[in-house]
Amino acid sequence: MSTFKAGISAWLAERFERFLNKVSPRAHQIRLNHRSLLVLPTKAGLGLLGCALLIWLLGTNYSNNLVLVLAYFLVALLVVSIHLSFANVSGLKLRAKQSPEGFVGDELAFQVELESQGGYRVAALELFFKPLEGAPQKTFIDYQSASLETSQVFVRAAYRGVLNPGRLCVSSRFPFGLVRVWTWVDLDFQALVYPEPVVCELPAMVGTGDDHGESQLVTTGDDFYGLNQYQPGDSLSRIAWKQFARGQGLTTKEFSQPGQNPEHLHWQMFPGLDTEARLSRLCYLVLMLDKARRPFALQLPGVDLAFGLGPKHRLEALRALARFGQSAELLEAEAAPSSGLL
Amino acid sequence: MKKTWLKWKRAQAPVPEWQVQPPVQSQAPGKRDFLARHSLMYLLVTLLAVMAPHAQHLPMTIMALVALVVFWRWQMFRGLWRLPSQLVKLGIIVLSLLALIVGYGTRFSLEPMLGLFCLAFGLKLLEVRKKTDVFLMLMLGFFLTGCQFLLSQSLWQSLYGVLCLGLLLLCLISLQFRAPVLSFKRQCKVIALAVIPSLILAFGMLLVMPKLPSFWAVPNLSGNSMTGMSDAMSPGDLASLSQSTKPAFWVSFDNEKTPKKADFYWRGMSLDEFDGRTWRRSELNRGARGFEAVFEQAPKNSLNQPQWYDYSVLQEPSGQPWLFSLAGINSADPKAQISYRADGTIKRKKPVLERFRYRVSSSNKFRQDDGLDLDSPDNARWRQQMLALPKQGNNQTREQVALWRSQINSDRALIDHILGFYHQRFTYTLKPGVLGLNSVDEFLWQTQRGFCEHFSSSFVFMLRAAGIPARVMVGYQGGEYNPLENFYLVKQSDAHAWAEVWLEGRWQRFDPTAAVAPERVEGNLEQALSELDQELLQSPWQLGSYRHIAVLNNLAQRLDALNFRWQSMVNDYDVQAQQSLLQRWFGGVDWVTLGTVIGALVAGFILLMLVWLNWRDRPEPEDPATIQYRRFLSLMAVRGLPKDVGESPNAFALRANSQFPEQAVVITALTQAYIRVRYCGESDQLETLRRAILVLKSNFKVATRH
Repeated sequence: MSTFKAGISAWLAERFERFLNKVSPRAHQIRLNHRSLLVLPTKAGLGLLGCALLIWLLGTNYSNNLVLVLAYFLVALLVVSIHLSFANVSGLKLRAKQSPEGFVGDELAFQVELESQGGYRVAALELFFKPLEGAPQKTFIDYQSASLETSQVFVRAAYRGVLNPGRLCVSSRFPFGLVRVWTWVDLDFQALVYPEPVVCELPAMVGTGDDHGESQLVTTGDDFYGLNQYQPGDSLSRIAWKQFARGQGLTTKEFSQPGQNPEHLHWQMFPGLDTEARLSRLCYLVLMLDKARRPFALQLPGVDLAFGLGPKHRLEALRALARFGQSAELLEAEAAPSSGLL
Repeated sequence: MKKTWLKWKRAQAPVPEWQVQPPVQSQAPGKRDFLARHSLMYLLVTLLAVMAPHAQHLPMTIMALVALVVFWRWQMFRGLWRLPSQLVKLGIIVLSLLALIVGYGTRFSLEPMLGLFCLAFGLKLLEVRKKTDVFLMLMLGFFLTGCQFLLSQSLWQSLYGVLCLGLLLLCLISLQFRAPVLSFKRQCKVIALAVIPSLILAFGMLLVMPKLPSFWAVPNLSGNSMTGMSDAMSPGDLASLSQSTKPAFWVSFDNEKTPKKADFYWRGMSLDEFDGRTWRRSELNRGARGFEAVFEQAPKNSLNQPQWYDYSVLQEPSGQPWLFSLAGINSADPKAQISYRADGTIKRKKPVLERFRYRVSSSNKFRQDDGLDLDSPDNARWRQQMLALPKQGNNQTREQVALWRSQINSDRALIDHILGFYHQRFTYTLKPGVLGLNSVDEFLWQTQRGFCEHFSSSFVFMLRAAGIPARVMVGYQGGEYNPLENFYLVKQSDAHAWAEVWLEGRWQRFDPTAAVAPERVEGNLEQALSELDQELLQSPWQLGSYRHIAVLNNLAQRLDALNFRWQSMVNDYDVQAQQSLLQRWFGGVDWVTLGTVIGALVAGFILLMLVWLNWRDRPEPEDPATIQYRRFLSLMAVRGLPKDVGESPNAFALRANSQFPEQAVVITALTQAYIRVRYCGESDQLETLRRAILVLKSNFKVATRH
């Protein structure tokens, strides 16, 4: 019985998916119209119909025409609010903006740009992705403040790699909550999810043989060492503003640090662990080394990142970890939107 | 409430050490289910508005309880009080049950049901926390809005009902938002957009939807809260009724010809038993002791009546079965379940608890038999009843009448003498003195100030004392003509009592009040009263108090006319009216036709909606510059140079120039013109763009020819 039920629901889901693919195919920009929007009464709307039935009984039993008119009014209200709900949402343009990146477990903020048609601004809008499990995280837009507004929809990053949050649900119960107008749009969102950092010691098997502990990694020295030429990506807090004011050009202050020696991160550092566990530890080391401002190189099967330092280097390393093991075409597809972040 | 807050706080995990920037926080989960403050405020206002019409029948205890709950919630809204504890809630519930029992007892009528609904609506306020609770309350609000039409169907009540609907919808809208982001004006606009078409649809549905008879017997309003005549008359009863400006009934005559205003005596019931203070209906009159006082048909007319007046009466709910008509009834509405009574009046088989319309045809003249020929030996007991007086009391009057009787032989002369006596000595006033046990004596010989019930009561007493059969008749006298809708409005203040006397072999009407204050009969109550008394009748809040100002009188008449038309329209649309309407419109009333009509209406509505949707979703019109530029692009595409997606016009122009160097000037000029029109808003460059494209086209043609 249960398998039969499951079969039916799977069949329905598949039919629905096909229907959605037909009425609103994947696109970066989608304009909602009556072909893609679905309308059904909500529980409240059905409750109102029940109320109308009771009032109709009252009016019929007392043969009171005004009470009957009220009963018919409530039914008509449901029909009219279908129009009003539809008018609220229809014509709205949705556009995918840059795709987010984050660690596993983070809330990824997908940016959606809403553009309303003419002078009509959309009210009481709900946006959410269908989560793999649990309740969806809904974003509510009470009233669109400008004709062009960007809002964020959140999804918890469940796994490492290229994450496709699926179709975005756009739904509204405006004006009276009696009917719900909704649709599922595919704005071709793809997020890049880095591995979840897992705290670990820096293995001493390769390297200088010194006992570089974690305590050394986190210590940031504060002895002034010298000035360096400014490189794009250097932290603003390290810029030597005094020298810059004297007209000596943009330079950054370098501080002497105990563990200055560069570190070489590679795949074989954690023998006996599976891929994800290795990536998580490597991710932690990348973050800590970056925080300690120690240059590092990253070597994975198929990836070779030379020694470097700074936010750009850190991002490259994280992306390499995120993309590790993902199929080639996925990588290519993902390359375009992610480049916007740099 | 507190727990949720804690949970929310805990959810904010400490920022991990590797986190460079704090994570973006999405909204707290579940927050949307809670009720926003602005929703609650609307809800309080709506609750008061929906309950207000029911205040007229709710017992004070229930009103007080609801007021307490509303006040409590208001204090909570202001943050001063807490949610009541379980114990307090239990106490309030027990109090409510007590209030219901004390207020209504075991009475089975509509009011206890309404009281229960009102209590539920009010008490739910203390429990409201989530939106679903509010929604339940609003459903109850819709129901109570419907119930207020059971109390009254006047135009004002209907407009008030629309106001209540608007408020309920305002609450529904506010539930959609976490903060009052929409302006009040915009919300009103949305409501108007919803309400106006819905009302039109609703009235349309009322016209065509099949009207069914009642499914089961329903309790009616008990009549306690209604204004109207009772079937007994003591001094002071009618005077208090006369201070009500509520309408009693409306009369519209079928023909132009109407009786004189002074003959507008709307007979309700006769009172023929006197206990020295109060006039009642005798047992004979009530139809007890096996005497059938009710006839299925009007008694046969023996006089040759030249003129019938056909009129219909629309009566307000009175809680009593009495109907009002002119004398000499020929026939009354056969389908209205009316019975004819021995005194020549009509009554309904059940009390008038809803607005009720009936048609009557009468001559306004008494007939010889009139169902109660006192000269006939069969009616000896009736004659006895019409002469009956209490065994003792009011002795001074009895003596005086005996004296007059001995001096005057003729009955008519005696009656004239008594009327003359009234005319000389008495004052017509709303504020007669308080009368004791011998009310007739005290009135006739001491106070000599009175209202119609005093005059009619003492008059009939004196006639009976003189051996002339007589009875008191109560009803209404007069009626204000409204030329706009051609009806007479009879108000409660027109309540009147007069005498009917068996004289010269037939019943005759005598009105002692007319002997004292003829203006009462010719005009209306106000004209008959002294200025001091008139102040009693007037309230600064009633338009009727300003009738002496012509403009306001006109306005009041117009409003009366509007209300009358509305009420008769709403009230008269029954199964027969529906059938005749459908007959007129569609030539048939069978269900197939009706189904087709409803189906066609629905289909038309859907079609209209589809047309509107397609119009709304039409593609936005392209600007002329883009259309022109697209022509250029297609020219280039034909020549193997399509523009890449995302390529800027300038970049494309560079590429095109390298491909067609001989056209470089034109292409550059064209691109510049396009950019100027499109991005700098220089619409005068549009002509340049158009011409450049024409030039390019001809250049290409020339090039291919060579």
